[in-house]
Amino acid sequence: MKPRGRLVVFLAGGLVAAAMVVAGLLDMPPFGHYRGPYGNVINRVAVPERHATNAVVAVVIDYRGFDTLGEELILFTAVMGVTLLLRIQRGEREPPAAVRAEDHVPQLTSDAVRVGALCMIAPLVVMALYLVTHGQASPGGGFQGGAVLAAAPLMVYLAGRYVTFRALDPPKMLDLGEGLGAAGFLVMGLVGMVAGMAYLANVLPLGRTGSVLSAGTLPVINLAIGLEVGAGIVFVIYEFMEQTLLIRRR
Amino acid sequence: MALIALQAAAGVLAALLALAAVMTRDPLRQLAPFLLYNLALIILFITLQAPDVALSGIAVGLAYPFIMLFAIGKARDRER
Repeated sequence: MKPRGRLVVFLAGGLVAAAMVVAGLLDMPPFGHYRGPYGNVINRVAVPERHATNAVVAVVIDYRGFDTLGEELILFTAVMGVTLLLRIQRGEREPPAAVRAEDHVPQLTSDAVRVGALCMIAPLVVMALYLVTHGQASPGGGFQGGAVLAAAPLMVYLAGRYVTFRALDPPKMLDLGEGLGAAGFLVMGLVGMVAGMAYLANVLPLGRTGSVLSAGTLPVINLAIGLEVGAGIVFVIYEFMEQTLLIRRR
Repeated sequence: MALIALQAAAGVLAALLALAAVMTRDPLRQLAPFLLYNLALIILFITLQAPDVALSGIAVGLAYPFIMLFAIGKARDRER
């Protein structure tokens, strides 16, 4: 298409889109005045029904837990897809260990970055554990906690050399985390069925509101999601690192 | 009042940084405006009392630069 024709098509589409946006903006409720009924219902029932003070996690993992299960499996599939795409392919090779060690001696990371990354590792792990285990009581949950957890081993990479990071033996650790995480969520769903109720029904004792072991299945599923998300992110980045730093074209 | 001013400032900053990120063509240079844009969004979400969304923003900000840096590194490796 010629530039002029393209411009005409863009202007026509842009005008329609702009009209729709303006019409939508004019009909919006005033800022801060939420009109939806479900939010108010959830705010009222989340504590008495589920002993969860964080209504967001109560919705995501309990009331609409099935959707979240699907999301978690999408992540699982995406991680497998990346692993498949980034494997050593025909026409590529991984150099032997001796060459590898030579390759990675010159490191231009500044001391400030290395010390900063080292100081971050322990606080990141603590924050991740806090987010994962307190999802039912305060903002957080498995997805956010898992992502923060994934940042800890990446700090090991920033603070040291790639060889040090590799010594953590990511594949073995991550396979376990991915598998346990995905399976944990699925199995917790089955527990509801074993108890004679629906899949993913919240059958565990609800406990004291606000404590770590409260809200029934919520903390257990959060733990599974945290493992799955943390392991998934590190796995994807590990595969990128292998591709970038080790695998060379033949 | 101060809260509304903070919300407005974070919102305007986010819009400007988003524009800067879109206008930067080089993927490596784009990381800086993008991450600042992400930070402005996180501040906006906190001031709007949506800490859950802010935490999701932190999650993106942690994983995204690593993946981008390695992808860019591999692409440059191929060009050589």
